[in-house]
Amino acid sequence: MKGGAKVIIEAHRHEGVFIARSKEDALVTLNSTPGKDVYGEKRIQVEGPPGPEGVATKLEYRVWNPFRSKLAAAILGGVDHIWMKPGSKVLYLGAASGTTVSHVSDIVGPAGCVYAVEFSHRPGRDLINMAKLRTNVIPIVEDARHPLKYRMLVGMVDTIFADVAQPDQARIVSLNSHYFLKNGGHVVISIKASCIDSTAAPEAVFQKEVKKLQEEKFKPLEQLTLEPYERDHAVVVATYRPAPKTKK
Amino acid sequence: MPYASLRNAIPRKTNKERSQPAARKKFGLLEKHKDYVQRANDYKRKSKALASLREKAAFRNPDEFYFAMTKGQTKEGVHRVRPAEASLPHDHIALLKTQDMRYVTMKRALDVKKAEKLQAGLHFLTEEAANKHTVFVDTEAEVETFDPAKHFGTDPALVTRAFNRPKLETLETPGAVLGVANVGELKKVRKAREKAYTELGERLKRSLSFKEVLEHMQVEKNVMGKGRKRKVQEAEDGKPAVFKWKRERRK
Repeated sequence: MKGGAKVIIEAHRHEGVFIARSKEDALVTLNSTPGKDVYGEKRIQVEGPPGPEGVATKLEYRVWNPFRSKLAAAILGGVDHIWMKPGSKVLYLGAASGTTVSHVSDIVGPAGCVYAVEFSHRPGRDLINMAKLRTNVIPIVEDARHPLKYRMLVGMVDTIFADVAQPDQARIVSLNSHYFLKNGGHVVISIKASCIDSTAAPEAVFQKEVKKLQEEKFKPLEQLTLEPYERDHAVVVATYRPAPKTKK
Repeated sequence: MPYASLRNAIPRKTNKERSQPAARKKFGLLEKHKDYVQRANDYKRKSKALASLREKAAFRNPDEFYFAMTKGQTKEGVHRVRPAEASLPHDHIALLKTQDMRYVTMKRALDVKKAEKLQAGLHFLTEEAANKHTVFVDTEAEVETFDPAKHFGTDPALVTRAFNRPKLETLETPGAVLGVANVGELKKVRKAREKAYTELGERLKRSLSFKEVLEHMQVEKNVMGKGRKRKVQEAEDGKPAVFKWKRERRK
């Protein structure tokens, strides 16, 4: 899309995320590899504020489709905190082809790091191709159930994002947290109700998953459903081993 | 005919018919023998038909009866015989229906694809939230005193704006909004956006109705196929009728 004057870029609540309002209205992230898209998404060029020489800089944003990404849907749904910002280290479980991972890599920037874990080989190949251009993404084609297999690649992280759509998702997340998540770090989990228990009511499934997290020393902070972008999905944000509350 | 071949051996004079004399040009082309034969044949055929109809009318039985009479009716003074049933064979009709189905499938795919493309850039950023957001707090007292504006650290006016509740410190930074154009430009852009949303809505709606049509066509195709069946449920609110086939043992 050309013609920067016709676009308004609004800073989002979450650092590194923006809202573009033009002929379209879209969630966008600042493209760390200008001129290149990852999965055929739209790019929006805008004239930025003038640089030190007084010449206006060109900024490029990539559209982040909430109908394809649970994290984007959660952001537009009004999540309080995604716990990802420039400089964060994120472990991303269930990276698939790396479409959302590329946006997370835009958010954390060159100082941050995204460890993207995907088990299937075919999407794993796309993930690796994406990581070739984005040096802050470390692709790992392994089973997230066995964090031991990739413990040599992953350091301590600030946040774990999980979108694995498996019945034992809570167990997978806690296992990875025990290995890689710092105390007081956060998990952001996307839950697909029908993947956990297709017979129970979605609300009950979410509640059960939150219970499971609490048993694993997570303290839930918030939970939100993803309508109108997804049906019977929820995102739960929790803290891992929070510091004990000081008495006043 | 004797000597026929010999007669044919000698070149005969071809009789040329004269054309219309210049003095009689105003009467048009002069009729030739060929034309006369055609005209005469036509006249004979028509007079024969008329004669036969007259004869039929003369010999008509006033008490005659045909079953077609029971199907015929008079509508606004005009007698109508019920038209014959569709005369195409069964398998031809079945083939035509599969082609119709393919056309509808293609049209639907077009709409779905275009809607997807539009949807990639139109994220339904509206004030009213369609989802449910739960915030977990530690004590009952905190539930009582929960203040969304304070919790989200934003301006109270922006609390309902779920897609973006900027923090107060974000609002204060100078680069929070980039690329503001003039008011006229803004209006034009907004109009274009509203148009795009309308188009998206229409395409989504149409792809749904195409889907319904396809379901009906599929049932129709199945019904035209083999096997004994009976209707289990009537068609209602957009859903096709449900048929049940008699089970047949496979060899």
